[in-house]
Amino acid sequence: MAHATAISELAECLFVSIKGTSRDDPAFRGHKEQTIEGLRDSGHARTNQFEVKERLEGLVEKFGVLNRDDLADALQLRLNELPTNSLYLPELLSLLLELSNGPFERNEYEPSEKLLQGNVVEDEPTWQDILDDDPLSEDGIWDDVKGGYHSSGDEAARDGDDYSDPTASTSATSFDEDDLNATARQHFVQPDLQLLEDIRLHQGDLRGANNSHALATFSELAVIREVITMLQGLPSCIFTTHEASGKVRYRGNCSIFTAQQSTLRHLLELLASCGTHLGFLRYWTQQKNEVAKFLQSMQSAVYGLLSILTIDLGSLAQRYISPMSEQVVSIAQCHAEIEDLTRPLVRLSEVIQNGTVLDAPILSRFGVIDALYDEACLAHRIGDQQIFITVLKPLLAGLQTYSRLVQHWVSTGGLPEGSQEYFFVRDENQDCVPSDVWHNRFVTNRTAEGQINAPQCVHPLLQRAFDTGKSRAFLVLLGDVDSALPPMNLTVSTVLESSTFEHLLSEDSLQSFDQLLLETLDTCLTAQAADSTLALLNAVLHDHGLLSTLKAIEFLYFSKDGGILQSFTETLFGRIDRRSKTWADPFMLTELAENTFGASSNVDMHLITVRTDSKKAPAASASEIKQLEHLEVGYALSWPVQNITRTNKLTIHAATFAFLLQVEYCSHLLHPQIFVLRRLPLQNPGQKLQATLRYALGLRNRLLWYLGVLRAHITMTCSLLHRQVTQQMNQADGIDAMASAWQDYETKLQTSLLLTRKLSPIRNAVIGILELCERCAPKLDFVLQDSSLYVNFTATVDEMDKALSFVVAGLRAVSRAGGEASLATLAENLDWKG
Amino acid sequence: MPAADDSKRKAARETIDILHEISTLLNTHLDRQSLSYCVSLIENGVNPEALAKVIQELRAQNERYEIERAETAAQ
Repeated sequence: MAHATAISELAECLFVSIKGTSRDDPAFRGHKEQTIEGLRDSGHARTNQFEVKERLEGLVEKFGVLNRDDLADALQLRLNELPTNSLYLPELLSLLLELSNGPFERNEYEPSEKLLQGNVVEDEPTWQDILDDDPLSEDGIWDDVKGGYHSSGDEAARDGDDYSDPTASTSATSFDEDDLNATARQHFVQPDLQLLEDIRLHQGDLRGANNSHALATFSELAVIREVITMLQGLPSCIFTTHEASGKVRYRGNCSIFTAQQSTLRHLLELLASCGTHLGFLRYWTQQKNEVAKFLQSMQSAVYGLLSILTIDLGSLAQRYISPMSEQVVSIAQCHAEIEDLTRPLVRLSEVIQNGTVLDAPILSRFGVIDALYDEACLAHRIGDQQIFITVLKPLLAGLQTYSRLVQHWVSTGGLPEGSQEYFFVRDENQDCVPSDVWHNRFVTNRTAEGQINAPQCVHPLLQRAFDTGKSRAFLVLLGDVDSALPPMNLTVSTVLESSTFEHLLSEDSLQSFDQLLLETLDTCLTAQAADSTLALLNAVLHDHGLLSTLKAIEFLYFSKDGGILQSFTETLFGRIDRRSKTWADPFMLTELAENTFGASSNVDMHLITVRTDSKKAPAASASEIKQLEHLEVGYALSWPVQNITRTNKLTIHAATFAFLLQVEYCSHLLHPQIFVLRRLPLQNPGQKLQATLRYALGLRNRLLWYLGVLRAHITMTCSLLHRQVTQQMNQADGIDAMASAWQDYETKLQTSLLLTRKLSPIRNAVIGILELCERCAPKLDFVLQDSSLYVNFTATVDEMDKALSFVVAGLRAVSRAGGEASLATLAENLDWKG
Repeated sequence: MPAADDSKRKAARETIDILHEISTLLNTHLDRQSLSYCVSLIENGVNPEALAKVIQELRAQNERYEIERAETAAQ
């Protein structure tokens, strides 16, 4: 109402102004109504500002053409002075244009006073003004000009014109060197902001659509541009992007003339889904990860792929901006092209998303790289080269970086710094004793589920890599190699290039990618592994005492040189015979062993120790056989050898030697009687010995036979087993093989010599016979000394028979169960009735 | 805020001045007063073509009236 009143009043004023009639005029009211009616006429179209602008530009141009530059300049000047922020300017100018009446024919243009004031020409400067400003009173100003100055009226100058420098430019040939700003201003080009007016107007339209939910109509080209902008990760007016997750959603606020709304929505939603995947990749590449360097490599590779896509999208946009040939602008075609361009990266995004879900801190840290590996294998198998190459690049980038950790471990034997969470080796015990380094210092790092903490694709090689690194660490401890990284002839990084793989796989279409990858890694590892393992084996065998220890064992424990053993036993048994209380003194025994066994060049006397186990030693009143059982001959082992034997004491060998000593002692007790036997009186040839003597001699023979069988069994079994283990040590391919061979050797030794707890009943029976021999020996001695003496050996013989039967039966049973051939042979030998 | 109002009024006056000069260049025969009324009408939503048509009709009526008066005076 107020608006209508305002219009009415204004119309009244205008009417009065134009008509010149007063309000008292009787026709005033009718005319006024007519005027107001005319103003309310809504049959006219909205003012087109561009049309108005074009008309005005055309008018200015027409003024110029009709040689009315004054009008043209004046009009242009005033149009430029108009404020641009006025909303009704187009309408006002449209009104003036409508009312324009032949401006070039009947123009009574008189410049306004303001313009006249602005156009006042200043007085020209006079010489007096110039002299007042700059009087000619400088020194030297009237001096002759130096030669070389050329003026147009100088004859001499004409001759020298040929020598003058050509002028570089006709503009700004002289300038004030002090006023660089003025010089710079001459070269400035003022941009014409009017050229951007259309773009600003269009941006205004888009921003309006951006802020409102109403459906706005765009051109197909604008929609394509917005789609490309969105795919490049930039803000878009028709898509929203969630900053944290990169999820893209179509606003649903645009329509185009050339397609139905549902079709457009479908296409744009598909493209938004594509944008979501690309957005996730951008989000993933920006995640910070300071610890897992291989993840950073993968992020870098994916970032490179995204950059290539951005360039491709830019080329696609360029085709619309600067088309080389005519082409149809179609959102559907654009969608098809974009789908083809982005398919590999979309699939890559899905794979990484799946791998990232698995890659939680508690679970495997290699979820992404494992997922990429599976996808690469699958893509190669089904022949999808595009996806295969796209997935291959981040996979190999990650493997390259991870392989550097493995290379560091394999080459130096040391763990890479800051890799505890992502490396498959862990230093379990940094303060480990050297004798336990191989088995207990480094362990494989496993997840909570028991899986090795490494990518799945390298699992088949990890054990060898682990052993190689341990070998290297062992060599470093031995001091045989430098801990610095040696030069590699074949570096993993140069081999793990995607171009190399593509070339190899294209040459052999039947080879699978996983097989090729494994072979490549295996080749690199073998080159490094061979060096370390061989060097370690040589060092341990030859330089750090394993072979020399094995040789010493033969001489020390297994009586390889019978003369040496005899000299030891003679002295020892002599002390026992003299009932010396100190025969078991460790110091004296050690000295005896050093002097006897140390005579052999294969035994280092300084490493020999002899002691008796004070906890297990029987009372002094026990038989010597029992006391000899607890005699322990020790041989010091170097710490590298202890890594193989897993112990610093050769307990089984000591027990074997004690067993041998027991047998030798019994032999010692029985053998002097041979000299007595020679003195036995024989009255007549053919005279039979007395029954007791006969019995005693028979028993003696049986005992000697028994001791001989035992001795042969001990020495031959030990010699055979020891020869085998020495051969195995020379042929072993690693410390683990050596340790396993030694373990097996000791087990066989224990079993063959009845030293295990399970065989203790049989062993006790065997020792029982030896004790019986020890008890019998004096009696036999008496009988042989005096054949008239009567000694009943029946009980002794029965006891021996019983024990022997038990031993034979037990040995047979054990050999059948355990398969030990030596025990079966011993049983057969002991069962021989002669 | 009087200072802001003054500047607005000054800006409006300058705009009217410039429009008047353009109007003169285009030979619209609008005086300053009429032009200001036209500006107000347009700012109140009147269509410029409709307004131009009304002004032309009023002028045509004026001419007809002047011719009739001249004929009556001659008689």
